[in-house]
Amino acid sequence: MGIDGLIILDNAGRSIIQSGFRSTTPAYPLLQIDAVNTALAAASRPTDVDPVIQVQHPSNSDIPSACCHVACGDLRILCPISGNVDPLVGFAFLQTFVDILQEYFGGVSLAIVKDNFDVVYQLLEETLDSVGHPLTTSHNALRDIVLPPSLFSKLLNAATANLAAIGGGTPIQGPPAGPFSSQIPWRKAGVKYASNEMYIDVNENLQAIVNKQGVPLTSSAYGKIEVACRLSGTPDCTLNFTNPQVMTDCSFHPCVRLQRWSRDKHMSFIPPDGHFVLAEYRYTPNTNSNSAITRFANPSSTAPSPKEVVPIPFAIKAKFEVEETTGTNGATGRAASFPGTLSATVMLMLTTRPIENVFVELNLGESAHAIKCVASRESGGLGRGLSALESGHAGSASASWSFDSRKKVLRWEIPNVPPSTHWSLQGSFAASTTPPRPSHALQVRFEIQSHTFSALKVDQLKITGEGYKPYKGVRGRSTGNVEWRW
Amino acid sequence: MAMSNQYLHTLTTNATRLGTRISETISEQARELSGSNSSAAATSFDALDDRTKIAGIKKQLEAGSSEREKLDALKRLVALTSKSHPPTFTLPFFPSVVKLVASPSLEIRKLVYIYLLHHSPYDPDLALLSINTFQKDLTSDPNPLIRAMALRVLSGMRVPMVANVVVMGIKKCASDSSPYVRKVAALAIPKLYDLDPTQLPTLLPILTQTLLSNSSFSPLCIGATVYSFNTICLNSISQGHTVRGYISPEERAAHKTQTFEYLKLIHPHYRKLCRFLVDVDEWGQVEVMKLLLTYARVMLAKPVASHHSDNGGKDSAEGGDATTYELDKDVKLLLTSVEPTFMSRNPSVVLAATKVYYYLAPTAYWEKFVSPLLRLLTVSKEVERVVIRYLVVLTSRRRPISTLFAPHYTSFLLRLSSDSVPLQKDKIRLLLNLLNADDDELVEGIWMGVLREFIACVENVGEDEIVKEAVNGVGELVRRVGFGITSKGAGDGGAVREDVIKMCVTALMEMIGSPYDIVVSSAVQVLQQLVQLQLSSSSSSIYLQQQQAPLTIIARLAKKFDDIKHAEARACVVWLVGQYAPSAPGSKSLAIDGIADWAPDLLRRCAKTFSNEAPLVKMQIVTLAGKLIVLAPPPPTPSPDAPSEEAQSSKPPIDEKVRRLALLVKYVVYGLARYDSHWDVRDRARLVWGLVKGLVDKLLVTDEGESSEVGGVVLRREQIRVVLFEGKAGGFVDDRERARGARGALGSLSAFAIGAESSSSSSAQGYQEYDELEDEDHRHGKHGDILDSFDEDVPEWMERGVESQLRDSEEDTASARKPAVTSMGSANFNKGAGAVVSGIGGRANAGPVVLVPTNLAGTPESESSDSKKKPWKDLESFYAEEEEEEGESEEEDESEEDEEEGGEGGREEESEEEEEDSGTESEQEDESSEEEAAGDRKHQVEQL
Repeated sequence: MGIDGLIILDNAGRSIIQSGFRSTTPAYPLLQIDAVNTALAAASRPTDVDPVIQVQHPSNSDIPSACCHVACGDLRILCPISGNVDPLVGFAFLQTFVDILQEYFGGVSLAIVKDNFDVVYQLLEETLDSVGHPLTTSHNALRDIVLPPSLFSKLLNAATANLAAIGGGTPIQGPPAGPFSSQIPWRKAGVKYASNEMYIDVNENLQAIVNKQGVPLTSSAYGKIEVACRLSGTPDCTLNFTNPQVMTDCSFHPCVRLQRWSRDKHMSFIPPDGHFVLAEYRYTPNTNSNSAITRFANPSSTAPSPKEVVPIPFAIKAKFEVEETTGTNGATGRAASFPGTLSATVMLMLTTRPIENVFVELNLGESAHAIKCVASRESGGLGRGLSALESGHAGSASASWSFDSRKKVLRWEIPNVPPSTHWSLQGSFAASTTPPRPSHALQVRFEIQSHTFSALKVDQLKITGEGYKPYKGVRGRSTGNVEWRW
Repeated sequence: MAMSNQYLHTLTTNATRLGTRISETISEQARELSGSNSSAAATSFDALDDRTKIAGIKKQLEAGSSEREKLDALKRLVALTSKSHPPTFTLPFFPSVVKLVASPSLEIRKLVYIYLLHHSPYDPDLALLSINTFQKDLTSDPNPLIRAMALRVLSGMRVPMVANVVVMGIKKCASDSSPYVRKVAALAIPKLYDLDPTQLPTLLPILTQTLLSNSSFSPLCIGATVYSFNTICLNSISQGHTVRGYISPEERAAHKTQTFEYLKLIHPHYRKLCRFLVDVDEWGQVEVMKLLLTYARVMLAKPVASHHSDNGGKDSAEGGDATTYELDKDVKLLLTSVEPTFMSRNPSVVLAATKVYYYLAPTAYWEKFVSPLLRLLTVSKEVERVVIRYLVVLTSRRRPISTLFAPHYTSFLLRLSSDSVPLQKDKIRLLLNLLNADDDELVEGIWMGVLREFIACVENVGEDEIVKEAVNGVGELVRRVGFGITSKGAGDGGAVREDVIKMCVTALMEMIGSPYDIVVSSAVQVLQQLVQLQLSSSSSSIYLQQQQAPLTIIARLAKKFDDIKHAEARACVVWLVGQYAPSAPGSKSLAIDGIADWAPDLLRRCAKTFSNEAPLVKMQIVTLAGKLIVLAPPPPTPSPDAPSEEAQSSKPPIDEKVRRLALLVKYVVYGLARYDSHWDVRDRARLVWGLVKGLVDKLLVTDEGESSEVGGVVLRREQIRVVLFEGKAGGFVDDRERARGARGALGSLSAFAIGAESSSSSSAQGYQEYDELEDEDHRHGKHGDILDSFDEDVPEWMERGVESQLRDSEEDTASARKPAVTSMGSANFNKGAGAVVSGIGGRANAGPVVLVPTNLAGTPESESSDSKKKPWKDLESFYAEEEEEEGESEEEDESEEDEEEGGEGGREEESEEEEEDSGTESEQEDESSEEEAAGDRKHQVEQL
């Protein structure tokens, strides 16, 4: 019942590590693995696989059983659940586990997991009790039980294996604290740093869908406040914002005192040691005109206006033409070639900062081939640059394009888009068999450094309970994922 | 010689010794290297050179080697263990590993325990050998980790013999000073219960008394405790049920009473759990909420709508009048305690909180979970998928949910480029469901956006399934918006309705011109359904107008016939044309009377392409031919009743057009279809020809001679007409069939509904029930106000609930005793508990004395423990005697039960009564035993 275990698969679908499954037949994990692999093989795109796959329980078919799985780097982690369990528990647990791995090893990949077999296995045992309930998932508490595989700790292990009780007593911990000595479940006791620092990263992610006319249908920014905390002792922090009203639908790390937040919008917390996500929120532009939405939705203004729209920092014009060379001849459509041309232009609306790492992706459909494109920069009305031909494939600093012939995705990459510049991509492609079915949606991903959509501003960070004066830093960063239809 | 020989011998032995020593040191060096760099060790394991490796491990584990070597060997073992599930490779090491269990090194012991955790189930006998060490560790080791590990190994051993030892261990650990150890103790309980269910009488008190007692109450271990309680006590009925499928009513009732018995144990802890909910760790919160929800449904009074409010469900659904509900104060307490958890970062917690609100709170409270659920959509793709799935299920059951989510429909727009296919499908469904919202204005506000979304989706020409779903969505939109808005203002709504239909039909007609087969065929099928729906329902003839009158649509479809390639779609068109050919209004001069002009033309074109058509289309063409000839005006006979040949032959010449039609029909049916290669087509041709032969012959005078040969029963024209036309209102793509298909699709995805919103028996059947519920909802919103269960998880509401003083405990009066870390709920709680103000004085004296868990906790225990021995199995008799004793219990009249329960059937009511009996009875016992407990509590009771 509950969470039955975890299985880590490599990208060929073979099991690398699995936790000890209790009380079920040995076939149980195999069935799960098999179900996932079958589903993966059946799907045309790996993303099309349902993240929850129903699996027949081997011993008692009345017990509903399913397998939640997520892809994580080149791994796929499965979390079989059985009994009346919400799949969200499975996914929450998977996420937690991935976060733990991330925190332990700084990344999650096949190589890392293989290199740290024993640690990963210990982590599995400690995070999940075989009865199906998570045991210890706080990273701080775990670090007391399972030593992270630093070179230092390895040496330490080697050196002190003979000592009776090392108790996780790394030198940076003052007293030999031992596991579970902390009163606060998410913070370990006796942390000591030579220099006390606390960094706050405000990362916002814009999620938007823009329709054919260039009007955003939905556009909202979701923020994450990530904290890297290296503070000694048991500090009590209070984080104030100058404009907390931009944050709505907040969710918090368990350490945050919810009452304080509800009362006066201060985030008051005793931080865990290390990296953690303090809070997540949705940005609501307070006074923004939602004309776009109303124009789009309905003239009848009585309808409750949907969420306000966050402006999108760029605009795209895309044109696509498909020449149909064959006539329409009844039911017998013969194979014919459908040449098509495409052109797209990106314009930056933001005037202050450049957008970086812009990726524009377009699925050209099953039968696309013979792609020829030219990616170029056309600045303020000068017409197309002469260097167009060179910049196409040459790995210069300017735009480039590539075509993934397996996924049939055309990808256009612009590393840096300075303010008020125009970039364009022109090209042609051909498709056989059916009329080409290019996707009518461009997926645009981008980053903006030192910028947040909400302009959330930290007013002050007070740390009480400890004598030192820590170094504090705040940084903003924005990413975006926009679907642009044409 | 001998001397020298001996000398030589010693020399050689020395040399070999030296050699071995050197090689040993080298290998040791090498091992050291690998030991300090475990990556080498692990990866080398990947290249399975197992035999040598395993031998090496064995040696390393032997007594002589250094601690470091042992540690290294253990690490290798653990790495090996994780590779295979039944640990065949690593099991042989068991004896060597067990020996290390008393090692002084913590690191080694941790690994040993991990090894044992995994292996002891497979070789319990050997594990028994070391049981003394475990027991020693369990009780005396200073390190909580080791104590916990020892217990985990013990409880995981699965040897029935040691059950008693494990019980001892659990008991010991349950009162451990470290919450971690207590947590592990709690988690060990279900394992032991699995192993030996007869231990339940000793296990339950550990859970409900020791672990939930004040002395060991810690937010850290509540989660595990409640989890164990849930696993043991709140099993859904189908689980652990050996006979599949059928659950008899008796079993159901027994299950219910048993659950009730178990839940009684929670009485004294209910409020405590509510208060501490925020402080529990996230996994625990899920479990605690599950328990509290079940408890509330079984034990607390159902919220009652005050009588001055309207009786229709509509208004309450709109959320205006929250005050019309009287919530039990404990329900209120639960709801306020749950509210902060909506801010949890863990999606499962948010969902659990949603569940509590959904199942316990009146509709007016539901808006609380709207934005948290929307927030989950952005957490990750997987979570989005699951939540959308839940929303689909919820919205198809409850109109108020649609109303709540409809303003946020933009959150559900499809990401055409990145969403997975199943997700897109569900989003389409969800968007449609939102149109069920109660509020007409709302619907009018969003339908346009929804339609555009569908059109965009069709234009995108993604996967076929999606396109189909989207086109169907457009049709569904017409149905839901166009035919759906009838309840309110007809004047204004009418205009909107017209707009909707006009736009949808225009869109569909445009789709017919699309170059993509799938778009065209789906559009044709949807149009066909719309036309049929329109023409079959006499009342709603206003909807499709002017250029969009159904017949115009058919005419256009007929015209576009050549462009439509998909077989099914072509068949659709042909059928439509045949079916509705007679209803065409005043046809033009060149047409045959009574037949729309496009119909014979279509037949003509079909005759040309007949041989290339799919069988499905051919059959429809044959039918079309039959229909047309029936419709054609009969030869102008003065006396049709006497079809004498002479009368016919002497007729004035038949209309040339009709004659040609007859020829064509004969050609198609008698000439083409009869010799078709396909079975069914020939069959159909034979049938149709048999029907219409007489008619055709009459028209084709030249064949006069043969017509006389027709034997058997000859149907009259009217009869043939009935055969061909009537009873076809459903059409050949049956409307209901389609609806069922959608339902089936829902059922096939029901994997997602395992968790929250649906029962474990996630079969298509279950969904059917929900759809019916929705229909009821449509009929009238009785169900819309307060929920009744659909869920096996969530029991039905008690109508009255048990007395609330059962939940009173000394802590209520001393609620501030235990400082909470971030307790949000306590403030609210004080308010909710009412008369506690007076208890502040009493806290000082009542606290320390009574808190020793004697009387209060003791009573339910004694009761439950004696009821556990056998009455678990024989509850009926148990109750029988109890009831006799408690015959005159101050029960209120059951008859004033809410009429909402009426539909639930008598059986359930009976069992409920039974439960209430026992409830009141137990409460009396409690009361009597606690008589001396505190005067101020009495006071409270009176106030309540």
